[in-house]
Amino acid sequence: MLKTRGDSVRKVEVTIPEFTVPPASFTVIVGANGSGKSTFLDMLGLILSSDSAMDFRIMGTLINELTGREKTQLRRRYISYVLQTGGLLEFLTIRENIRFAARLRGKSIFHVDHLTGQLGIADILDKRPGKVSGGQRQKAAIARALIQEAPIILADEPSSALDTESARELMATFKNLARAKGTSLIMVTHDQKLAEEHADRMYRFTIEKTGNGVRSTLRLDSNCQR
Amino acid sequence: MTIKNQSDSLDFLHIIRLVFADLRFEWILSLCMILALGAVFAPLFILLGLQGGIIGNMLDDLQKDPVSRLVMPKWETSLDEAWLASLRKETGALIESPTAVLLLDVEGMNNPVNVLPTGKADPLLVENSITLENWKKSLVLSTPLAADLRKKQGDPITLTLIRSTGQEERIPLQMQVAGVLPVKASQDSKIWLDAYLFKKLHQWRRGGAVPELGLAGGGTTLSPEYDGIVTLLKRIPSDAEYRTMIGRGLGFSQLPTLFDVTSWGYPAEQQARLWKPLNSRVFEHNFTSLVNRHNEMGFQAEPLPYIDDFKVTLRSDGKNIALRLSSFLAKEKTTPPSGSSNLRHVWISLDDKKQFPYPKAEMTFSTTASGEEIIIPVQIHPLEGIPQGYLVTDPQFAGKMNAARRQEAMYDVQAGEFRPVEQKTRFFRAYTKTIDDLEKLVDFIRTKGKKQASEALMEPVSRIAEVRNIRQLADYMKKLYLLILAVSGVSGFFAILANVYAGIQRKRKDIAYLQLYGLHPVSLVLFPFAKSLVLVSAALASAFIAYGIFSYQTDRLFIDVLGSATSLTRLDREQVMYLVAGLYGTASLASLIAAVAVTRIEPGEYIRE
Repeated sequence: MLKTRGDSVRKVEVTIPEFTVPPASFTVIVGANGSGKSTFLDMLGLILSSDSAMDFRIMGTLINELTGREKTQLRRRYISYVLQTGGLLEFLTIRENIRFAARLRGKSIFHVDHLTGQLGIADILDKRPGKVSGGQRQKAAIARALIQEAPIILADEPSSALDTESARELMATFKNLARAKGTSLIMVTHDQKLAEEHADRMYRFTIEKTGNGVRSTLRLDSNCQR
Repeated sequence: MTIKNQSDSLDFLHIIRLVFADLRFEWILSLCMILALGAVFAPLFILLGLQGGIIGNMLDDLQKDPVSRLVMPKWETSLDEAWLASLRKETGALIESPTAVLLLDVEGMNNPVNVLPTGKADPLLVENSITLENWKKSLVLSTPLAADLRKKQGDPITLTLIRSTGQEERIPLQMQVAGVLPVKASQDSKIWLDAYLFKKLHQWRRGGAVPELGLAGGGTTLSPEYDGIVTLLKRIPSDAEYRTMIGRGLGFSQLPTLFDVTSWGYPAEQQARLWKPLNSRVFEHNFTSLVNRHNEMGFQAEPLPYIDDFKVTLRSDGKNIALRLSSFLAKEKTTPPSGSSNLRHVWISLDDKKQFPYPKAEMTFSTTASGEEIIIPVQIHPLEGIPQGYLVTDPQFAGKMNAARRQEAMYDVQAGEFRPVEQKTRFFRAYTKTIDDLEKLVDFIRTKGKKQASEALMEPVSRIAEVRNIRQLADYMKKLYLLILAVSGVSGFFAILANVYAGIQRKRKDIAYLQLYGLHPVSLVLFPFAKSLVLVSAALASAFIAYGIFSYQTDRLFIDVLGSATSLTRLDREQVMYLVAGLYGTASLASLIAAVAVTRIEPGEYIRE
């Protein structure tokens, strides 16, 4: 998979020779700022298209041949998001956001209280996202993603608003809950230590300079495989 | 490649849930928008209601008043039975009569009263709940007459039938008041009789018998009738003296006018005054009353019968001469010479005799009743003193000719008399069922008038002008309203478009997230669209409430003018449906145009901020 961005003055070439995610696994992608982590995550989420992809499949479906509508349908069926900004609807309460996400996937809303209790946000369910802290928002976003029981969760820096200790706790909970539902969790983070502690496998972006820009290549970090 | 998801119809439900959640979240903004749109919609309903109420009340008033649905000829005219049969089909009620009105004397009144025919189906009676129980005995009074006579329903009342067939007959007719019509039915003193009784009394006046009332015939000849009386006096009464005579029951209600008889050879010192009745004719007994009233005031009046513009033709041996009938000359001058024939004698001027030198001729004239020609064989005499262009005959015969001219009559040559034939329908009062049918009936009658060259039918009497004025007013108000609607529609359109577009801009992040969740942009267009329609619906509801309050308050304000049963505002169901449909249509279009902006929001726009 190849994606080029930038202008004629400075090009950034993002290359992904190989990327495989086993079922119910926790895969982390790390790299320096501007290495292409978020760009890659957007491509995995079918938000951005690659410039070329030899064999890009999600749940066995070849992505290259899909129309825009089919990509939207596939995203809805297989992928949930935990965005850096939370990704919650401002006009719904936390509870309504989670329930809405569940209904959208045809999932039961009866487990909302249990799930939010496990994440420690049971007391903010009737508040709107704008009225809670960044960390609470991210926990709510995680709850929203988990309630959908999607095969894949894409998480972009989900613990960025938390302190180190809280981030570790959250990661452990997130990973366990996802594994319990059979969900493959793909996370982008700049926190390498956090990644090494919890990831089943880790991919790393490495950057090298080219004639008119840089090339960022994603490779599996063999030191971090479980 | 087919990727199956939950049914798209469920997306609609998700969107609707989001719409109401968003409205709750932005409740202040939503309320402001509802009130703002309500302020645009409410005047539209109020104006529509006022238009419907004002015009509706005016048309209702017309509809309720039977006189508004009445069409009648301008005056009596000949009517064929075939056309009358088709006229009956065109009307809701038809009252037919041989004459427009009878003048009858009523006990307690100084002057004769106008009497009109009526019937069971007459809306004047039906809509005032009056029935003529007994056609021989029942009559209906107008309010002014009832007030003058101090009569009410159930009271006895005496009519006096007067007839001059050789000698004057006065026969009292005992009747009973069946009801009193309200003022709006007539502001004059009037009586309504059953149409059959009316016809019979008319026939009796012409000399016929009415066995049902025990009234005998008065001979089968016509009585003389005149159009006025010319009085010759040496000394003329003052206007005050004339008014005194009128007040004493002269049979005339207007002051006499100056009249010139000098061309007839009357001395200049004798002054002439012409007495003409209003809407009536003069009989022989009126001459006696007139002379007596003058005598009582100390004046000597010589009465001369006056006939209005009566054209006759003399024809003989292929030649014709047209003349005007008069009876002004002194009686001794128009006595036939002894030994003359049994033909009727007429006198013409010396100049006319030179043009028409025949001793005998046929004198012809047409009756206005049927247009039939009456032919009278006459002997012609020249006489000095007759102005050229005139024909003089015996005053009594001239009066009978005048009567025959107006009625259905024939001339019996053997007897030398006019004989009345039974008069057919020459007048009618036709009522339509509704105001809406009035125009059609008027056109129907006008068409007949044009075919028949009858002015009476070409210009029928009706309130069509009033109905047309109201309809024209309704038309103007409708056009004005449509103009206001167009202006409001345009302003409302852009207000809604701006609101929806602004809402989408406020919700860009949320809409991007919803796309990320997997909702298709086309489904997402529904989000701002449905939200806008909910606001429009609430605004319509607020407009209805505002209208209701306005209607209630104005009805209270104008209760003295309108009464408790009438409202100033009225909304027609169909019109309201069109208005609401139009508002929804405009709102939908504006919302949809603005909502398309959703499709330009990328799902990845707000992934990271």
